[in-house]
Amino acid sequence: MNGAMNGAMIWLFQAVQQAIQAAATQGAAAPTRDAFNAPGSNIARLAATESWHAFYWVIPFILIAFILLVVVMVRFRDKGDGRQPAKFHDNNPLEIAWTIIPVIVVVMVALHSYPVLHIMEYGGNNPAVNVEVVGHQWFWEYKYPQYGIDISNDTLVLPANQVVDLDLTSVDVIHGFYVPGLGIQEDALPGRLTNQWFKAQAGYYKGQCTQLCGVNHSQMLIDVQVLPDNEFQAWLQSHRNQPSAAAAVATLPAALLHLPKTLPMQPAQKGDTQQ
Amino acid sequence: MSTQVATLGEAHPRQYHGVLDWLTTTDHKKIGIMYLVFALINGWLGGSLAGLIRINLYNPDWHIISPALYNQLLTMHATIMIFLTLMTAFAGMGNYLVPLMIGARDMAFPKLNAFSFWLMIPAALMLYGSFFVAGGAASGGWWSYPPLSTLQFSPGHGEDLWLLAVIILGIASIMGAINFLVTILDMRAPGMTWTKIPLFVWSWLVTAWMLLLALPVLSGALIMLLSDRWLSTGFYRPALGGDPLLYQHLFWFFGHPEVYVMILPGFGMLSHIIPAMSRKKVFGYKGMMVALWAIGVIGFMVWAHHMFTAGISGAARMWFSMASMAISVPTGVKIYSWLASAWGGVIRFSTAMKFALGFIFTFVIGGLSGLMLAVVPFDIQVHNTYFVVAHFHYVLVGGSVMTLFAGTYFWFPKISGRMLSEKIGSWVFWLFFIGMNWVFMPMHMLGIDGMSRRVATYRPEFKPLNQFISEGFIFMLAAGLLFTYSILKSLSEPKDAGNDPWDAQANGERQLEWETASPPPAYNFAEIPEIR
Repeated sequence: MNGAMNGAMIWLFQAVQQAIQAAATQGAAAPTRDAFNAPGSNIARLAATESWHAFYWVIPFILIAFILLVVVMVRFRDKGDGRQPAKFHDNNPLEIAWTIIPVIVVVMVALHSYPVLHIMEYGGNNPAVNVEVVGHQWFWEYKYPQYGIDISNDTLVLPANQVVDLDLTSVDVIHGFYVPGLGIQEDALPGRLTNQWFKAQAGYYKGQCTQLCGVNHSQMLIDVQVLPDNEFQAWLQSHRNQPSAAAAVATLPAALLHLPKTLPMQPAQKGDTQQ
Repeated sequence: MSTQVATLGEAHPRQYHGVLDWLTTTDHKKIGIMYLVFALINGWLGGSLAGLIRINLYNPDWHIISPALYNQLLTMHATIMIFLTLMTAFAGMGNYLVPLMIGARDMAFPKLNAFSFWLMIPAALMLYGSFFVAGGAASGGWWSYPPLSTLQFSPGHGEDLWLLAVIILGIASIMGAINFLVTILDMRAPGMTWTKIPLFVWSWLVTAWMLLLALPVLSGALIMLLSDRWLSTGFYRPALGGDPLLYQHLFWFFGHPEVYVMILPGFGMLSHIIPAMSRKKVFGYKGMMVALWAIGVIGFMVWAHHMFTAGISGAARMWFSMASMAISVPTGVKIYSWLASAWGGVIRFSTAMKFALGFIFTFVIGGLSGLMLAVVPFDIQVHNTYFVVAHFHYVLVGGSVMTLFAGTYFWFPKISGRMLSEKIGSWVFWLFFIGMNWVFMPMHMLGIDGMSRRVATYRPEFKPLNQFISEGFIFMLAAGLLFTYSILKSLSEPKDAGNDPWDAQANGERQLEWETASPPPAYNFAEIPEIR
C-alpha cells in the first residue's frame, strides 16, 4: 500500500510540474490581463489594492487554523502510551476572544472597503466619453451617442487616461460585461441601466460575458482597445458620421430603442446622486 | 429487549416483507436508509455529468459536447447535486439519527415522512426524463434566471419539467422541515432539556427552520416564473413592467440559506465525530449551539452578495458585504471549537476522523475565499468566474461531501450493524482529498485570470490549467468507486459491530444512539430512556 501511495505522490508532483511548465510556455501568447497581475485602469488598481488589504487580514486566520490543525494531529494522536484524554470542555475567555477578535477584524475589513466602493459607484463625474453597451444574444453593441457611432460585434475602442462611462443594458437576456484587466464587471439587464466608470491605460484587454445567456454564451467575447488620445481621435474620424448608425443613436437612451415606450425605466443608481 | 420489540411490531396492523416492506414503510430508519441510497445513486449520476463537463473542458477545440447540451449538463449537475444528493443525504442522516438521538420511537409524523421521501421519486424522474423531451433539459443554470428561462428564450418543456420538479422537491422539503421541527420540539426523551440536546439535533433544528422560511419563497418565485411562461403574466418581463432583478432577490433569499441547509447538518455530525475520536467531550457546547443559530439568522440577511454586479445600490452593497463577512465569525467559532475539542485528546485516526480533519483544512479555505468574495471590490474582479466555482466547490465538496463521508464512516456500523473497511477507507480519504484539492484549487487561479464560469469552451491561455483539473477528476472518481465498493462489500459481512463500536460513550456523555443495538430494532427503544 505504501509503495502505491508513493507512486501516486510522485505522479502528482510530476503532473504539477508539467502543468506549471505548460502554463509558463503558453503564457507567451498574450494572456488575458487581470486586475492583480496587470491592472489597466484606476478601478483595477483600487480593487487590487483593496483585495490585497483584505487578504492580508484573512491570511493570519488561515495560518492559525492550519497550525492548530497540524499541532493537534501531531501532538494528540493516540501513541498507544496509555495517556488519558484531557477533561476540559469549555473556556469562556477563550471563546469570547475568538468571537470578538474576528468581529473587530471583519468590521474593519468591511469599513476599509467602503471608500473604494464609493469611488467605484459615485466617482467618474463628467466623463469624457460615454458608451452605451448593449448586450445581444450573442454579441455586444457599442454606441457612442456623442459621436453618432454604433458598432456591433467589434472591438470597443476607448481613449486612454480619460474618464470613460459605460451604461449597460440588454435587449434580450441578462449578460455580464467583464473585462478583468480593467477591473470592471457589471451585468447588462433588460429594462434597466447599470453603469461603471474607469480611467484606462493604453493597451489591449480581453474579456467575456459572465452571465449564462444561452447557447453561445462562451462565444460572447469582449475585446477592448484603449488608445492614446490622438489615435482615438483618428479612430473617431474614421467611424464618425456613418449615417444609419448616427440616426439611430442620436436622440433616445439606448434601452428605449429596443423596448416598448410604456416601460418604466429604472434609473441607474449612479444617475440619482451624480452631481 | 428483542422480545419486547417483537411485541411492539405485532401491534402494528399489517406487516409486509421484502420490497413491499420498503415501499410501504413509515419507519424513520428505513426511510433514512432510502434517502441515503437515493443520495448515493444521484451522487453518481450528478458526478457523471461533472465528468462529462470535465472531459469537454479538457481541450477547448474538441467540442465533444454541443454548447446547448453543455448548458443542460451544468444546469442538471447543479440541480441533482444540490436537491437530490446533498439535501437528500443530510435528510437521510437526519431521519435516521434524530429520533435515535432524542430517544424517540419515530418522527412526529411517520406517514408525512414517507410522503416527503416518495415525492422525490417523481421529481427525480421528471429531472432525468427532461433530457429526452424536445429541446432537452433545462439549460438556464440552476438559478434559472429570467429572461433566459422565459418561454421566449427557453421554449422547450425541459424548463417546465425543471420548474415543476424543483417545486415538488420544495414541497417535500417543507413537509420534512415541519416534521423535524415538531419531532425535535415535542418528542424528546424526558429530561432532555434544551442544553442536553445533541449538537446534530440542534443543527437539524436550525436547518429545518431555515428550510421552512426559505423554501416557500423559492416555490413562490418559481410559480411566478411558470406563470410568466404560460399565463402571460409579467412578473419578470421588462416589456410588461416586470423586473428580472425581482427574481434574483427572491431566488437568492432562498438560495443563500440553502447553502447553510447543505452544511449545518454536516457541522452537527462533526460535533459528534471529532469529540468521540478524540475521546473527549465536545468543546464549547453552548458556543456551538449559539453559532448554529447565528448562522441560521444572519444567513437570511446576506442574499444579495450573489448580486454585487447586478446593479444593486451602493448602500445595499455595503450592507450585504459586511453581513456576509459577519457569517464567518460563528463559522470560525465552530472551527476553533472543533480544534479545541481535539486538543488534549487521544486521537484515533479512523477514516471518519481523517475526513473530519480534512474537512477543517478544506472548509477553512472555502470559508475564507468566501470572506474574500464578500469584499465587493474583490468580488467584482472574480464574480461569475471560476474563482466562484472553486469557492463553492470547496464549501460543498470540501465541506458538505467530506462531512457526509465522515458521517457515513462513523454511523454506518449503527445503521447496518457492520463496520466499513478502514483499510479501503484510508484509500477513499486520500484519493478524495488529493483529487478534491487537485480539481478545485487551480480553479481559483483560472478565475483570477478571468475565465468565466458556465462556458463550453475557452480562450487558449486557459488550456493547461483546465487539462490539469480534468486529470485530477480521476482521483475523485476512484474514491467514489472504492467507497461504493466498500459499502457493497460490507453488506455480505456479519453484523458484529456491537452497540458502540467507537467507544463513543467513553467520554462520559450519554448518547442514546449508541445505547441501542446496531442496527436498532423497530421503534428503537423498548423503553423510552430517561435523561438525568
